[in-house]
Amino acid sequence: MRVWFQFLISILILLNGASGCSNGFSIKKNSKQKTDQSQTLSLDTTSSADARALSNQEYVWSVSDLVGKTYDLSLVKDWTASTQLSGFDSITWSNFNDKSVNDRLTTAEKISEDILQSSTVLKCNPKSGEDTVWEKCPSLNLLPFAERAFRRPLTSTEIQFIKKLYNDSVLQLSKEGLSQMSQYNESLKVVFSSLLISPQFFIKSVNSLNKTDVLKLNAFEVAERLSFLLTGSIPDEELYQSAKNGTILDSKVRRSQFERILQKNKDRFITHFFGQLFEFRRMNDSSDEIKKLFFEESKLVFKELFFSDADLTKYLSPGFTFLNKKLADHYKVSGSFEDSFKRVSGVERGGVLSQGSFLSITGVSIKDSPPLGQPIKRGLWVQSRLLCRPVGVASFELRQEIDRVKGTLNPSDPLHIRLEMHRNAGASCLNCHQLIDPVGISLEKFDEKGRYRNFYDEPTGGSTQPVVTKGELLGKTFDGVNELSSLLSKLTDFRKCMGERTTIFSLGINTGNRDRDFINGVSNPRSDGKPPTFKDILVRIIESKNFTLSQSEETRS
Amino acid sequence: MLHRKYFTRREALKALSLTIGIPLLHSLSPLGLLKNAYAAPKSRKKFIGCFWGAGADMPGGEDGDWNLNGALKIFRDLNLQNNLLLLRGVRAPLAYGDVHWGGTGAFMTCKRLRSLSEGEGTGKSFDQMIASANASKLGSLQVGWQDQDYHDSGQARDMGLTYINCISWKEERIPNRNINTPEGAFTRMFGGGQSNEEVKIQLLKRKSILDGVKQNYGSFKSFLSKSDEGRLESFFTSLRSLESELTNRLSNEFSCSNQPILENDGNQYRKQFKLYNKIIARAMECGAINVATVMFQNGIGDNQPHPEVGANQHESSHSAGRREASGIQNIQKIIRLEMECLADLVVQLKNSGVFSDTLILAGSNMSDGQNHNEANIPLLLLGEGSDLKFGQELNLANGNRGDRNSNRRIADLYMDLNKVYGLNLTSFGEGEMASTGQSLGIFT
Repeated sequence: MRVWFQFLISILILLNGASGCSNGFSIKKNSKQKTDQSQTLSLDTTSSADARALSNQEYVWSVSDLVGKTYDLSLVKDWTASTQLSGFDSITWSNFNDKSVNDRLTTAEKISEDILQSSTVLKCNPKSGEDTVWEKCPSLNLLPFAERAFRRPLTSTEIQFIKKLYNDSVLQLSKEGLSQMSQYNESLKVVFSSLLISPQFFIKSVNSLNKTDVLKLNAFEVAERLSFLLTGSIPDEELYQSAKNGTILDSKVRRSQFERILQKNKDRFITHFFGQLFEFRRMNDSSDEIKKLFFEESKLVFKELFFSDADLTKYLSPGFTFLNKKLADHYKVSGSFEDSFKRVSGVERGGVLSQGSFLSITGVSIKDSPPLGQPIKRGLWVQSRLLCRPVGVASFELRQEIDRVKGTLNPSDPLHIRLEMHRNAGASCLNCHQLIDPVGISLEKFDEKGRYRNFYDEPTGGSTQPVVTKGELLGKTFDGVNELSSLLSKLTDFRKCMGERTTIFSLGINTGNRDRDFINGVSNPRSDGKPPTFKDILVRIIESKNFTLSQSEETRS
Repeated sequence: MLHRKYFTRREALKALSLTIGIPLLHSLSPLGLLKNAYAAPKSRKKFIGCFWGAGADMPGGEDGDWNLNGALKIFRDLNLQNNLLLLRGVRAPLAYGDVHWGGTGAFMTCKRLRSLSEGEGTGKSFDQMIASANASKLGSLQVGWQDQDYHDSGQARDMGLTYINCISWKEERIPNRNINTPEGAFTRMFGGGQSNEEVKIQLLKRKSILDGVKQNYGSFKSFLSKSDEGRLESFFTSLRSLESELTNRLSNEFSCSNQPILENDGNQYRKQFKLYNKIIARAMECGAINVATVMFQNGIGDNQPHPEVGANQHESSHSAGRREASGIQNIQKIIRLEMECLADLVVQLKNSGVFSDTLILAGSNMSDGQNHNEANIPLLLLGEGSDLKFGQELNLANGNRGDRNSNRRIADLYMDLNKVYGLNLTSFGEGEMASTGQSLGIFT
């Protein structure tokens, strides 16, 4: 009977292959696969990239670099949140509306006030009224700013527009009785504000100019793509020069620019890429001090891993972390610590799944809710973010079934028993939860704030119960975060998922089946058979032809 | 159809004596068949849509705390029960698999939600149809608490966050996003508090800035593919709208002398919404707007602890949290607080003398968050006049209220309200969310 039941479940799982819960994992070796084949990948394997507006964070970094003043996200605190796709807001497209345009106008006006104090922008200071005519200071201050903001040389039409806008504003303000110098200053602010709201500034990755199927990006667009990938901002002077002389179209030059920009922007890159990939960036927005320490820990760990060329598996099991006294106390790690962070080896911390950032993002307090939700939430996160297998939305009928099954569970039973009973209540539960629950259970020794525990602090049905972390996935048993991380790191799906998400981040595309070959190409093992590093994946992408091409949306269908 | 009355006997008899003929006819008729027999509803120009996500304490879609002794007690305490029409047995528009998204984004559009790949959008929402038909100086105002700014793991990768943060759509592709601070709402309605001369200079500069942007946009447009050009039209439309507002302000035809005092109120939820209420009421009083939307919470129901209850609305209304006594108490507290803010809006509108010209529609995207039940959503109509069945409770379900299949569609409510605002709609919504042609019977 039991054998028949298992057989039946196996059939159901196979039939469910098209759903978000299919068990398509594989741990097979890929030593025979070709490596470094990105150069041969053809464009028709990739989905289209649409024109994207700068995300709120990219806007803040871009104006910081333009103006030469460090702004933080408080600059855009009243703005609408950036839309996200696959966890990345760098590929945003938000519909514009009255509020967003008004927000941009108000913010641009504030920035234009700062620009009048910026020696980075203002190269010419008028000494007399004569210097305020267009050909003197105004053109010298406005046109280089506009070129940098637009990331390409200005067209003659654009130059005429800027000139006309400045002159019209001076004329209008003179009628209002403003002094000549006030007319100059106020008109500069008008033009700076106008440039910062113009689509040439806040839209990137423009698509096919001629509505043809494939657009070959020009040197300026390639430089823009590389710069936003690595810094979330506009190109710096050296990168812009390589666009001007066209050398950026050469993959070798792109590679050298890639290395140079990374070295120059280590912290920003780590926050920009890994902060979104593993979501730890959210910790920095919190007013909770401990979450800011989680942010710092994640940033330092990923920074060392990335810049020491650690392969993908190390991100799950690095064997070290960074702690200061407060965080060590929080984690209950013994040792000598001070206010500054130091590297610590040999602790069960540091991997993606044992960092405070992940554990708190996916943590569910027993006080708010019984603990059944936490392992499920953590299991879902791993499925979605590490294995690229987001579980579909439960139908109303399925939710009713979940509700019914939950009602049959005995709250005094240990958590892992209740989850098991829930999982085995029927095929509709088992299909998804056999992949979700074991992952979450193995992380139960961490509470919702990332603290270590051996017992549940609060009674779950009458008595305090010990935490059990044993699970079984793909026929393999494991116990706790280390064994889970070890298992996940060997999955081909993990490697491919990291390749896919890095592709989404780099090219700004919403990946689909047509992208499989490209994703396989960029996430293949290295020539020595070892797993790739994130730098390997990024280099394969930026050196590929695809990095210099785009497709219009019309070709998608 | 059950009619539970909150009138006193005397009030009920008085009301009946005014409208005895037509209601009697209606009570004898099958649902909606005699819709043309209703008296013409009183015309109104003002509308406010209110919303919160994640439902209320309504286990299985049953009443739970959703009654005048529970969540709605504040209306009785403030003697507003006769301004309230409680609708039961109406289902949220399931415009997408997850009712958090579908029931919010399509709450007032009843149209499918497009994925990001398709180009985010749904349809023009009911409030904006009213705003178009009853033009005002500043269009409309949308306010809220805070946006959901990230996707939870497992959520659809290609579904935009706009749908859970917004119920008002100016056009198919143009969402009206919320202003989330009283300062922002005040400035949008009444300006920044500068002198007249300063205001004039600022407005002139702003018009110049927007002129410059329009010129730049014109030259940029030719670089865009067809699909991107279509998307960026929303930008140009919004530019024009903003320019029109500035022109109105510059023309000096519009001024609000009775502005509310913008207190330094911190971030307390209750104070924030009560300040919004004053701003909306005064802005309506001086003709700045005829339409507003208020989102007490986004469509998720907020994943942060509620500032005045200390519990998380989404977790308290959902799954495991809903099974615990503490979770139920928390969601009850949160909903009661939201209803207190809603009742205060009625008071402010009355104080400003605009309530008789206003209808408020308030609701959520689900009833029971436990199983995302889109049936029997909490739904209220607030107003005054004898043309609508204020002071009553209508059960519109044809059977079990908690079963979506026995529920009426919310699009039918919009078709009824269409008569109040003279919109001349022939249908509302699309697919299974579309109006059926049968009135809900909300008129006396």
